[in-house]
Amino acid sequence: MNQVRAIAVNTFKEAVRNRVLYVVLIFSLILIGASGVLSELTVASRDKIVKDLGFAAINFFGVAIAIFVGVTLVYNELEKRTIYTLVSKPIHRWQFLLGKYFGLLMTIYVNVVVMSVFFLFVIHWYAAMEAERGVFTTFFLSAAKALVGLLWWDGFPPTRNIMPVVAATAIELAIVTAFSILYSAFSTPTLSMFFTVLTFIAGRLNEDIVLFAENVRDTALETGTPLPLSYYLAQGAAHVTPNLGVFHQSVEQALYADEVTIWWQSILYGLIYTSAILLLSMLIFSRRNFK
Amino acid sequence: MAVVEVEKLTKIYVRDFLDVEHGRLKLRLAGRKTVALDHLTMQVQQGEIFGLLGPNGAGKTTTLKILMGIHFPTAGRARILGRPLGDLHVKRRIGFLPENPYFYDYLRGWEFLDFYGQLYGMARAARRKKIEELLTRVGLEHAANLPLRGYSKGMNQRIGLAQSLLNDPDLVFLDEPQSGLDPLGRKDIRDLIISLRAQGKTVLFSSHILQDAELICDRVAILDKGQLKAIGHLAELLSGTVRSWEIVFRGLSAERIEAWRPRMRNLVESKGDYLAILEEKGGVDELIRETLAQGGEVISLTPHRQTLEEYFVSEVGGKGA
Repeated sequence: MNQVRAIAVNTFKEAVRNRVLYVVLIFSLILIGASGVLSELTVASRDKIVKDLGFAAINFFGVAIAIFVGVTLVYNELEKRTIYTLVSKPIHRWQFLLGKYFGLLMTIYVNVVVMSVFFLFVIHWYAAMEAERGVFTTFFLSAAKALVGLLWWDGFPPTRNIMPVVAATAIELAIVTAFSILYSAFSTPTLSMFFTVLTFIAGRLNEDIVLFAENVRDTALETGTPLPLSYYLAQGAAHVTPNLGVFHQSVEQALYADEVTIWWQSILYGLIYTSAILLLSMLIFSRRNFK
Repeated sequence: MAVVEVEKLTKIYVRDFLDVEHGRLKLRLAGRKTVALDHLTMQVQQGEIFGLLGPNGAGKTTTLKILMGIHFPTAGRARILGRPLGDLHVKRRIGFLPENPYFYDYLRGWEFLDFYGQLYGMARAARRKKIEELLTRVGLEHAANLPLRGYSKGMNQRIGLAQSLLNDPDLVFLDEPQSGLDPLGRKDIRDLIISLRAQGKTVLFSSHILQDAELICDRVAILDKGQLKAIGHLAELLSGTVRSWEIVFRGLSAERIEAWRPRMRNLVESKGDYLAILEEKGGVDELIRETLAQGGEVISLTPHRQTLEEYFVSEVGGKGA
């Protein structure tokens, strides 16, 4: 495990020392910060707009890092031939891939944590503004609440349903990251990116695809015609892709209700799915010739 | 004892069926095949410096890549330290420096070696001690805290050597360790390889720079187009093939020298001493007898043996080197 950790830390360093990551992070923080201003322009409540944009930012930028950084991680090692010396060290190839995965996941989670703290801060800031204390008091109070609220999920009423959603997003990101590693274990960055984006979209629409398949089946049954090809394609796609909608529905809950529940089944589902995809990646990678 | 055994090792590269070439996706019905290594059989003995020589494309790097587990062989087998390729016990006891090495450019020299030290499972204190020692040994003490991004080619080669010695290996594989280095850098690496042998380690290195190989190798294998052309001790490969004799003499009359001139490849006169190059042994004996008979003297006689380079050119057919 020490080897996996060493590779993960190195992967993390690589990502952290890449300026692109900061651009993405700053951009996401601007988006979260601007949510309060944007809410002035709409009829919806500020609370809803701030949360909507905050969740969207964490989700979007998390997935963006998983895809854009993930698909080049393995490729860069091959292209720059840094893998040559690594392979001659006493590590298994699967340890290399696992290290890459955890390093990337660590990078994504650190970003998610930074975004979450800022997100919590923005919500507390707007809530505290109404109390009309001084700017400094409001700032420090909100910052403190944001930091505490990161771990104490039930701590403060305005944000008590935020972190459970972030946790659900974190599981979703673990699955998406596993896919970007899987594809990059055998194909080029461009193709991997394409595949990962497709998998992500199909994963989010998973339940809709199932619904579509059922509609097609019902129509066929009513008219007495044999099941069309589209039924099998939709069923196939729905079964091969992960059901990411499971993790996304908590966002809907948080926007319209105070209580957010994370089912233990969905956590288990995420863990099993991630492990299966990683296992497949390791199998493919261990048989591969390096350029 | 043989520490590396290679048996009928064959590698055929087949370009992928579906391939991205020049940014375009191409479908090839029949993959293009290149034979990179053709039934290579050889052994490297413990404690020797073994040179894998050959022109570009001879299969040297392919051999090393297979031995290191970067590529899988198409056919044949190889064992290192008596175990099959990819065995982690073996990897703990070997070091490898690839051709034109390139490392994580966002890391500093020290950080990089520390990372690799962790892969060997070395403890923190042991890593610190070893890294300090190696940086001094390869002459990079001053660059320990510089990012690898700023390293020159020679420095990259040196840090590459340092990483290959982190685990104090019994067996070191070096792929073109001297390529792209200035004469001083080449000498440093030559000295380092010799010092490794003095420590009882085995060194297998590939090179197309023959002078360097000739200076340090115990045994060499010559490859061309994936095939083994020759293997053995340098002395065995090159001895018995004295190409010419250099003779220095004085006291032979001017007209006799003129008579000899057509049989000499080269003739230089300096203060009454003559230096001549003769290509046949019979001529040398005759010239010595005649000189002595005329009351002259033979000052020196030096056989010019074939150099590795000449041997190489004759084996590989006058190309490469």
